[in-house]
Amino acid sequence: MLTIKELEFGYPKSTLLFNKLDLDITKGHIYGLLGKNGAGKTTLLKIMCGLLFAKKGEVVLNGTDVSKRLPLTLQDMYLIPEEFYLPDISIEEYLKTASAFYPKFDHQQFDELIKEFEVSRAKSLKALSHGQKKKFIISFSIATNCSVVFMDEPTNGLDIPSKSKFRKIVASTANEDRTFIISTHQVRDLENLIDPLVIIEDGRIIFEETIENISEKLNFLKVTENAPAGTEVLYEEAIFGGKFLLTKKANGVESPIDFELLFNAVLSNRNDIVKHLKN
Amino acid sequence: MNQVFDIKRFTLLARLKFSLHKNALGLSIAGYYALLFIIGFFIAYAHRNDASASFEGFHYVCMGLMMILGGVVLAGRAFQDMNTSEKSNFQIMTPASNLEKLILPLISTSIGWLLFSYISYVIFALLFNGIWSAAFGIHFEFFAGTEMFKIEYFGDQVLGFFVMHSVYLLGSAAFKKYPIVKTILTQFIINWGMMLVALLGIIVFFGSIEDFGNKMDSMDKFILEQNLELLEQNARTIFRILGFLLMAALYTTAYYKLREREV
Repeated sequence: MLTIKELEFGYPKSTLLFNKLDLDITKGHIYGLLGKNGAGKTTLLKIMCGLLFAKKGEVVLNGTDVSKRLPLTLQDMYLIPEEFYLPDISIEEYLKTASAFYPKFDHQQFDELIKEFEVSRAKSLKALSHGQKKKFIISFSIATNCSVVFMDEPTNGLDIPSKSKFRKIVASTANEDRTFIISTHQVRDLENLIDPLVIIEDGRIIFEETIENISEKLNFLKVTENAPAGTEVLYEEAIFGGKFLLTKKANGVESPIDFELLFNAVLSNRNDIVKHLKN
Repeated sequence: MNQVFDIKRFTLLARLKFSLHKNALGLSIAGYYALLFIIGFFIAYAHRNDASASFEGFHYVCMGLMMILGGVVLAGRAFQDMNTSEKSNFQIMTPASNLEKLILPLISTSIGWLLFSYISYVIFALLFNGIWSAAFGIHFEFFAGTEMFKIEYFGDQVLGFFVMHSVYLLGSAAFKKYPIVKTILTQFIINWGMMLVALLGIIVFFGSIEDFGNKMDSMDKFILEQNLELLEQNARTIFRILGFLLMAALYTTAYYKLREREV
């Protein structure tokens, strides 16, 4: 659905951020794009939306080069940037004027989402708090029913109940025709939501795996002393009173994925983890 | 649906933009009229009970100022929607074509503005004259502003407006921050550069500015003696063609600048 081929990109007067980057985004998934600050997550999202132009290579959405910024492409993708602009008009007026650009916009769905998020429709957009604005724009983006929705740090500015509602809403509105690409450095906020997981570091995709494969081949353990006998440790992290371990899957042992541990593990011992997952 | 221009999409974009800017635009226009109304009060008060007093001149100056200066300022602020990364995201991601995103401000700040300011000014003048006439006993002629169309070379004035408009629209598309100030500065630099080139040309081809002046005087004298009206007409035609080409080139460049804008 969205393909990045041999992408080269660099900001003026600096070295290349992306050098021959390839990524294939398929329909019906919630991609989690993780990385440290400055890894290039936001830049990659902007290139995928056609907001920045690649020096070389191409980004194609449903057969159309996104850098052409054709209406056909723009009406089928929606970006929620980390810092976003909402005009100083009423919610009703914004809905009336902006939703008309999106042929698949579902007003009933928008009403339900805004209700779920407890955002008052009576207010003007300027009167909303940052968190409420974020919830408004998340609801709007989902109601557009675009094929691909990009979200850059969507949980920033949301309170704890809203983060949980966000996860619930994204999970319940994901379907085989729609893809979410969520960039974040707050991995815990997106646990049990994202699949597959993409980790970006120094302008390169260093990890791209489905949750199914990760669950099948890795264990995430918390131990007070040493690793249980027979387990092969790929990464360990000392914590107060014990350790977190990332190990190869041992028969019969089930553990939920710890995204933060996996992220740290990939950054420090990528080769062994990737090799094990590819086997 | 046509991906370059579609009237339905264009209408949606116009509706969205109007909705975003109506408050600021409305306040600016109301402020301008309020200011004129207050100035008018003092002028009318000074001429109270003077049956020969007239506001025709005042209205023409104010209307011209509003139409020309207003159009240029609006063109210079046409892409104000893109002066921050957040606003640029919104503008670029709005599902309309690059051409539609250029044509809308181009038309609305030129033809649209000229029409709107003309009509609204005539209505304002009617109110203005009526109120101050009733208050101070001044007799006013009905102001329709049509005399403006009878000025010499009106078409050339309109062309001049569009050339200026295209300069400021390009400035707005090219400069992210302070587009009007930067456009004025750029114009200033270009004018100085051209003047330097012209001076160099004069020195190279005529030896000195004094010699150049003498040669020009004798050429003027020759034209006058030979009654070469045709030459003057040709010069005017060339000026018009150049003006038109410059305007088209600037609008086209604005389109490409807009298309290449990133966040």
